[in-house]
Amino acid sequence: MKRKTLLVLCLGIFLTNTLVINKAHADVEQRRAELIKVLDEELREVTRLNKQIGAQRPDLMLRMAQVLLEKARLLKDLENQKYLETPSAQREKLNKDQVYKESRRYFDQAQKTVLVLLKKFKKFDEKGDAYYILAYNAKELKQEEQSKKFFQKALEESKSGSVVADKSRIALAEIYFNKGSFDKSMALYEAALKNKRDKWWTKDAFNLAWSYFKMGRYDKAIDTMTESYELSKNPKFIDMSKSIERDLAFFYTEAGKSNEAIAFYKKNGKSVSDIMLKVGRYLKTQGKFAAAEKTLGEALQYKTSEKEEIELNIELISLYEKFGRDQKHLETSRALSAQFSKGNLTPDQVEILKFNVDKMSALIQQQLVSKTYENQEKIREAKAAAANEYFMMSALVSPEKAQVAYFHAGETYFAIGKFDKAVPLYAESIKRAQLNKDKKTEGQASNAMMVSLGKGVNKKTTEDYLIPAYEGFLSVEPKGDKSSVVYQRLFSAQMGKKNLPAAEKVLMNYKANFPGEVDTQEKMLAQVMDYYKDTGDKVALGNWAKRIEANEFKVNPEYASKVKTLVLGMQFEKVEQASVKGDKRGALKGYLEIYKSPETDNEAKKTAAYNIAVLFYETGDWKQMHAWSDRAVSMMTPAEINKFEKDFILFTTDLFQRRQFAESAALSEKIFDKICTSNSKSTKIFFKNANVIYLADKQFDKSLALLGKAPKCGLGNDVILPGYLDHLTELAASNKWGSFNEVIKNLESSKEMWPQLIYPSSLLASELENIGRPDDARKVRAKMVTYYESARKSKMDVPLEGLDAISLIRLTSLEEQVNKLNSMKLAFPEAEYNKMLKAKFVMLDKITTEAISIAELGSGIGIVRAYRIIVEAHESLRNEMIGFTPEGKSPEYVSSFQKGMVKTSAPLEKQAQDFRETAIKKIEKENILSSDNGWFLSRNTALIPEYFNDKGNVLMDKAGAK
Amino acid sequence: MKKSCLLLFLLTIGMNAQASIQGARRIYQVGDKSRYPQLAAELVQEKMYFSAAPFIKEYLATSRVNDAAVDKVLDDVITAVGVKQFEVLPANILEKSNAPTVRYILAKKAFRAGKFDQAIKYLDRRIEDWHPVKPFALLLEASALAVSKREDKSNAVFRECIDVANSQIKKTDNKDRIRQLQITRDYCVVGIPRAQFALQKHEEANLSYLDLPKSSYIWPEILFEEAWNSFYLKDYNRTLGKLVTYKAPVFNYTFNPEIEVLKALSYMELCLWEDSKKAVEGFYSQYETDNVGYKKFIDSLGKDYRQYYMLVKDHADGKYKENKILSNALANIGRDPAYLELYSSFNNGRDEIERLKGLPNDALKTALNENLRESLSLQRNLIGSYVRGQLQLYAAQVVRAFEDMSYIKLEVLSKRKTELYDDVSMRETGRARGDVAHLRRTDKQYFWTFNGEFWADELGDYVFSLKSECK
Repeated sequence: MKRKTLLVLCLGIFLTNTLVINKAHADVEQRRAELIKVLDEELREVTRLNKQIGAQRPDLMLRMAQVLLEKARLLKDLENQKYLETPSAQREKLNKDQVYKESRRYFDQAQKTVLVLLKKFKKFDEKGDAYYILAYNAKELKQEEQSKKFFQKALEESKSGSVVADKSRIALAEIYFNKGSFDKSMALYEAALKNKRDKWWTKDAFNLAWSYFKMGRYDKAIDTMTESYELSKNPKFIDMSKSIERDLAFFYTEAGKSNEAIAFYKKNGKSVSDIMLKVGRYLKTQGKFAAAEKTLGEALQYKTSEKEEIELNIELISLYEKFGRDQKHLETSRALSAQFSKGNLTPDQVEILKFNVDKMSALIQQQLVSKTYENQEKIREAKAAAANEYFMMSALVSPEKAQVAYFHAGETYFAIGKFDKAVPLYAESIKRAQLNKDKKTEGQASNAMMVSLGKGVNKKTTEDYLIPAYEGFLSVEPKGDKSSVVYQRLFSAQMGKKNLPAAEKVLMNYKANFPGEVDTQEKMLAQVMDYYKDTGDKVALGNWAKRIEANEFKVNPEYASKVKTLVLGMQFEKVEQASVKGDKRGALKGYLEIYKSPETDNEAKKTAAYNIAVLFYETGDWKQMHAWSDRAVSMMTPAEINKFEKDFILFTTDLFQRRQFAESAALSEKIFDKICTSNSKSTKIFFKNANVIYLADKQFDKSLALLGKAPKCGLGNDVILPGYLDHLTELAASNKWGSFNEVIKNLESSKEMWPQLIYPSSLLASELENIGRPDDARKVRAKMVTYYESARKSKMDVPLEGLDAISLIRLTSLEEQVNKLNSMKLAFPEAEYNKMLKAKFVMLDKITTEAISIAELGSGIGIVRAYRIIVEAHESLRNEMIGFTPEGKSPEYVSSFQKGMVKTSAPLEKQAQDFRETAIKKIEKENILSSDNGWFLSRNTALIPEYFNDKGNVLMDKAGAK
Repeated sequence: MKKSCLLLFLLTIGMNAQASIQGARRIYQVGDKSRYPQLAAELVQEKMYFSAAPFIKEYLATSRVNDAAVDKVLDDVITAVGVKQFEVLPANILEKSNAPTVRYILAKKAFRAGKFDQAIKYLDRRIEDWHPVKPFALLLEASALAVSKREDKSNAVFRECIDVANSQIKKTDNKDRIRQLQITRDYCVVGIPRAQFALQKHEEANLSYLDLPKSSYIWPEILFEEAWNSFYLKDYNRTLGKLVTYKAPVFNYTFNPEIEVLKALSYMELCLWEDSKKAVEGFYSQYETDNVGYKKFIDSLGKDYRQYYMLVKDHADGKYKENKILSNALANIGRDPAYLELYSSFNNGRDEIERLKGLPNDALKTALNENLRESLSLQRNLIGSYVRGQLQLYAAQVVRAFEDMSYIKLEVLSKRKTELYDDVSMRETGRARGDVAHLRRTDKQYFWTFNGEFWADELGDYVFSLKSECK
């Protein structure tokens, strides 16, 4: 009913306004029609009068021209109106000459009449009037210069003090006034306004006052204005009081006579502040903003009502905005907002306030976003606070767009990283957006709020707003790209708060909006069920299980089964309790039942199998343990195996210790296979164990197969190569040289393996020699040298055994040279002796160089053996020299010769001794353990017993060989 | 100032007629022109004024006068044949005589020429109160003084005129003479308000006009002046009231286009635009066509005074009634005192013809015949000329009235425009007409709201009660 009444009232007001406007329009039309009628009568009367008089009379011609001009002007008004009322599309097509044809005709007639008059009656004493018409005509046709010229002429031709003279003066004065030639307008107005001839005096005096003012004659300006003001009270004059009240205050102000201004307005019963308001407005229109601000600011002191204060503030706010008076602008905005709250602002004022708060808020926001004050934190915060305040005002004055204001306020704080402040604003924006049904802003605010919440806001903010943020987002975008994730987060948040009803609701919404996301639904379901499981709410748990079983949720079969298991697990809860209590038998029985139950899924089965394995381990039944652990591993995922890795290591170790190598190795390999691609550290352990146990059990094929899988499982050479070496070693030990050679060949393809292959190759070379294939052995040794050289160039580390093997190869060659040296026997004649001795020295030198080179390989065996060889070579040569007795020579010669040889060979002895000492030092310093150590260390001592096996290695196995 | 015609009664000179004719014959037979005054005197004795007039005129033109006896003869002749017969003589000839009537003629001529001081000067030589020309001379003198804005003196002379006229009225029982004196007196009565009017003392004039009784022969024409005075007093309702009096059937003869003009003007001043325009249009529709015929008619007569002379008479016999202007004009002239005097003189002149028939056929008779024919012919021409002049005057007045009416209409339209531009009259609620509250009056004035009927005692006292619609 109320609404209806309001509607009727609004309609009434609208219709009234429309009627008033229409009536005014019709009134103008009626008056114009009436005027045209009157003018037509006038024309007829002038014509009739002319006829009566029987001759052309200049005064009648003048009158005729005046009437024609007047009618032309009226017609032009009418044509203008018609033109403007034509729809713009049609208007563009109109021919203006055609539109204004009728008025133009009358203008022309008036013009012609006057021109004929002036030509025919050169002495006509009212020529001024005629020129006045021409001037006016020109003015109408916007021929300003022409108009000015004719007004001037009218003035010259008219009698001094005549109406036309004064009118012409006024017209000229107006022209000059409008052009800003105030000196000229002033003189003309002064002359024209001596007599208060007509009602327009006040209006013209107003212009005169302005002319005075512009010429700096403030007192005259004020006097004239005051006189015009007084006369305006007389109904016989045009009432200029409003304009005068407005401008006089400005005059007073400019003349520095504020007190007089106040006195004037008080005397005339006017509100000083109201006048100053008008002045301020006027100054604004004149572009005198500073003066306007001053005036309006002062006017606030004299305000007499809230209405005035509002009007002043409305004017001031735009000035503050224009001149960047931010603080004042903010204060004024506050004041206006307060008035808005009281409902005191008019619609226009509300619009201005809206514009200002919106503009300022946007401006400050922009400054903050563009990081203008990035390094001025205090200013930045103050600006943000100001922007926020503006946004709040915007929300107040534009409640229908409040959501946008709150959103921008949030954005402002977001821009400066104040997320804790931004979040509540976004939240409010969402709330308002929902209220105002603004989906777009709601979406933006929701997004922004979620982003903000992810920016490290404090706990309270998170607690207060995270869930609303998610909920807000989802209400806008229940099926958006990000929505799935948001549902999950919301679900987690609700679960985190243990708000199960809410979480379940999220789950149901998620299901409704993402029916295809079965996995996620499952996870959510699982969490819900876990919760009930953890809290022991069997009823709730059972209900959910039933819902799943009833296919309310599209879960994958595995999960469905898992749920079943869970329920089943609950049924066998006692089994676990028994296990915990040490009732192994009871526990085993329970687990077996679970395992065997046709309703038990794999998950439950593997758990049961594992638990059974554990129980059998504990009872020492290795066979059962192996069987159940094997089943458990088969069923478990790598992660699950990793989880229980220690137990599995225990199982395999237990099997190994019980000398159940095959079971242990097979279980290890199975586990290795399972966890092959996982990052588990245990992978290496199971690999090594399996390999070692395979080798120990001489299961070379299985070892080789295991080694072949290792790279695929991401194991590095640090693990694989020792495996191969173990494999080769065991092959060598088992005399599986064919396989040995095959393995080496396979490994040879990888250069990385070369340093590692040197030593096994040496074993192969020895075996080849042993079986009478010295050529093949040589080839193998040549390869070893190649491996070594390549490794050296590549700066790869060569295992010590490899270095030893290389040293032995080179030592063999060295020994051959020593043998050659020794085989060259000294003999006389003396020249031959000398030649031979020289050759021997050269050879010895070469041998020494080679030996030192071998020693430098780094092989302990090589070092000691090389030094031994060169010591022996030196000593051997010395002994040969000293022991040589030239045949067929005198004893003196022989004596002298031998003495000479002792002396000559002395350096050899010394060299041999030096090498010996060096070797001893190296042995001690580098902790070299070599079979030649004793040669150096035990010289001249009793023989130390040594045990050498056939293969030259030291048997360290306390248990003794098999 | 209305022209008045002076006709003096023949003074008794104590000679018998027959003797006079014989004396005249003797003088004529001598053939001495210097004795024409005696000859004229002899003829005057025989009441043969028109016959005598040429002799005395010839004497004046050809001789030095300065003779009281001659002046006396001149007075007698002029008094009988009217001043018009002698006005045609040049001033230098007339100035030869000191006869009061000649002085009067000279003053009149000077007055007409706008030489008011000269006119006063001609009349300065004392004219005795008993002299028949005295009231006329006083009227002329007062008028000259009034025109010269010597109000006090003129008022005094006007009052003297009233007294002298009243005095002379009492001493005569000749009806024509009494009428002449009464008219002259009444002109002197209105001379005072006219002078006041001229000096824009309208309030005083308003009162002074009331001194003229409605019974006066000239009252109808003075009513118009009163209307003007009321107009100047901005008492437009009274103006209109006075003007409406002319609608009374008794004033049918009145022809004054200005009456309509003043009416239109009064409506205009009351801002009753439509009434004013109606008056203008009414005037145009009533007279525009007739005026064309009227002008054509006058033009067709040229300067044939004889025809003009016949017009009034013919009109009285029922002719020229179709053209309203012509008819009204002729009716008005027929009532005009000046015309009546001229015509009366002419009739008297015709009586001389009978008398002349009784004389023996001799040279004198021939000469007198010639003289009489000449004088009467002149008199008839004077009448014709007067009629022509009046008709042309009316024609000019009509044209002027048209012009005035047009200007009034233009003014009304102009004011209406101003109203429209100022938007003051579009939403008026209606016109309240006829409210006595709008009237003003003085103690001497009555007022009657005109209700469409004319009553003799109310004539001239009607007032309208229209509310001004001026904003």
